[in-house]
Amino acid sequence: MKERLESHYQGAKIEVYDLTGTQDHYEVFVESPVFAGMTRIQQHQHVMACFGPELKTGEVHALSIKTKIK
Amino acid sequence: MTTHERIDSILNQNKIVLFMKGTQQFPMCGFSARACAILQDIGVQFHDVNVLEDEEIRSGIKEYGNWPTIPQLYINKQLVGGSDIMMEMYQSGELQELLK
Repeated sequence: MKERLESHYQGAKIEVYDLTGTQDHYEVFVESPVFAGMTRIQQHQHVMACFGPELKTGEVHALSIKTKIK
Repeated sequence: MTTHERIDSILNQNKIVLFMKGTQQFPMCGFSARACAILQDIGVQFHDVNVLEDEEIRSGIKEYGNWPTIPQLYINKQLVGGSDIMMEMYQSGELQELLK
């Protein structure tokens, strides 16, 4: 997860927490300049798009997102 | 009417809409309950849509706003977010501003 986010958001501050220890409930924090000018929902959609396939299959069941504009 | 058109018409008729599990009187999931509590605390009237009673809307709304989870808050036909975003915006005062 972290590697994928790091390649998507270069130079961003990224934190990933496995909330349940079962690798399907995550909380991620991304602080990146990319988010400038986006609404909160757009920022979250942007991050969520990185995990589209896993969210579709249910491999990742829950993803809690926190974003910040750098 | 397609599901998309049904959602359009709900949003056209109501300024503040919460798509949720259960109703505002009786939320059926913790996240939906939290979303309702935030709106009730701000003191605004809102229209609730119980997705548990409408499978078409339940799956349709996820496509509609490109957002995979419920609850979903719409203000003036714009998707604002789920309960996490609502809580963040509530704590910073942004949500109150938006609902003025």
